[in-house]
Amino acid sequence: MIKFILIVNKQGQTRLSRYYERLEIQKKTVLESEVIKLCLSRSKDQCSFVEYRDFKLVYRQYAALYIIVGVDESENEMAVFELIHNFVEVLDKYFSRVIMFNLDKVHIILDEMVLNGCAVETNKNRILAPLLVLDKVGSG
Amino acid sequence: MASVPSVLLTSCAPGFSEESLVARIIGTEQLPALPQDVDQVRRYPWRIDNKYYSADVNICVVPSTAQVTTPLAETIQAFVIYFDSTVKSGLEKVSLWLPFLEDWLLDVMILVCERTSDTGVSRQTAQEWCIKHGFELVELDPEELPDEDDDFPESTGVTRIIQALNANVWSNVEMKSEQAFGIFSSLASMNHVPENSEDLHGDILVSSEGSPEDAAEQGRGSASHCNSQVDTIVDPLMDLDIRELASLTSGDGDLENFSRLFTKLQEMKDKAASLPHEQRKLHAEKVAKAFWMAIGGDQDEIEGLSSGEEN
Repeated sequence: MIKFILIVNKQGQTRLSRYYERLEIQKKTVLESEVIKLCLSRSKDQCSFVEYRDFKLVYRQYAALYIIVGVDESENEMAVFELIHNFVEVLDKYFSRVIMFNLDKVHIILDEMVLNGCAVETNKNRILAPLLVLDKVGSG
Repeated sequence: MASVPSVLLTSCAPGFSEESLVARIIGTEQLPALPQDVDQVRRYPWRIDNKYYSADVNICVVPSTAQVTTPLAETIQAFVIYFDSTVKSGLEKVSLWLPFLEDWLLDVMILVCERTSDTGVSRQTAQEWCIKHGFELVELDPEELPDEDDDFPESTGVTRIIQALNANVWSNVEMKSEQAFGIFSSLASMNHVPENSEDLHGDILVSSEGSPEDAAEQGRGSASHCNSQVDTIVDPLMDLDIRELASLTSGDGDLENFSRLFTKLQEMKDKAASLPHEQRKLHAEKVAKAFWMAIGGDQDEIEGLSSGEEN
């Protein structure tokens, strides 16, 4: 099961966080700062899978953003690694690179892809379909 | 002046020309010659303009912490500091700024050097320092160039500084196309349907072009048009319902309208329940189509789905 997904910039600021398990806000803050420090301090040659507390972190860096996913032991790291890339490809397809002012849409995309801690959709067209309908309505 | 946000740019490496970095950020060959302010702050105006917004900021170059006055401090929204990475103590002078930064709580803090050096401040040391203090490390002349095969290459040097500054939300930012998001605003802005839809679906959906009266009028026109073709299968009252449904979704789109939409749907469902089987199906189809069109669905997708009432 996926426990959480974070998008973090190079200055270690969380740009987006999504939790699939209830956690108190304070604990989230601590968890995020620990996880971010752990992942950002690793060099590029190091493995993208890290053990942390009782779960595993899978992260990937894309330009100035890190996407970090926390999963439990039942999840396959490689599958999560690919899921991250899939997610980024979808974002790239939709946004062409810059997403800072459209975080709501990133959430919509993420919700199409991951539900309740499980990957539910990986087809890019199907993921984007609802969003494109909304856009169409929005632009008249 | 006070309302213009500032990027504070400083150096703690002797001999580094802040102006050359400023020029590269702004993207000009020659900086406008500025009379040195009495307070030793050199301000260079910079207009940030990207696909999302434009904003006017000042890049303020100061020699040291001493020149940072309260009025200046209030405008600071980003911090760029250059340090000498060739000596081991390079980061010590940067640390003089930390107490200030703790007060300012900036979103963008960038630690710049030419290139990290193993004999002075190593990449590892600089990186750890950055993570600890919430900075981002940017090397102007990094040793490793980004992998060409990478689809999402990391930008480096001045390019990255500019990117990071662009990614800040400045207090005076002017957004380009103020796009409305969310279902309500989406519905609200749904003010027209494709022109040809009236021919094909005139009987099921007349959306408003302008005032409600307009819509009603159009509706009456097409109602007779439809009735002549589809006989009296749909009673006029039902037709009216469908039209109201369409106008509800395309109207002002406020919360009240939205809940009315559901009440309306329920009413229509109840009414349809009393119809004979065949008519009920036909009615359901019309409602579905009307709804589909009202939420901006693609006409192509419902074309040909009709159960035999095509012209």
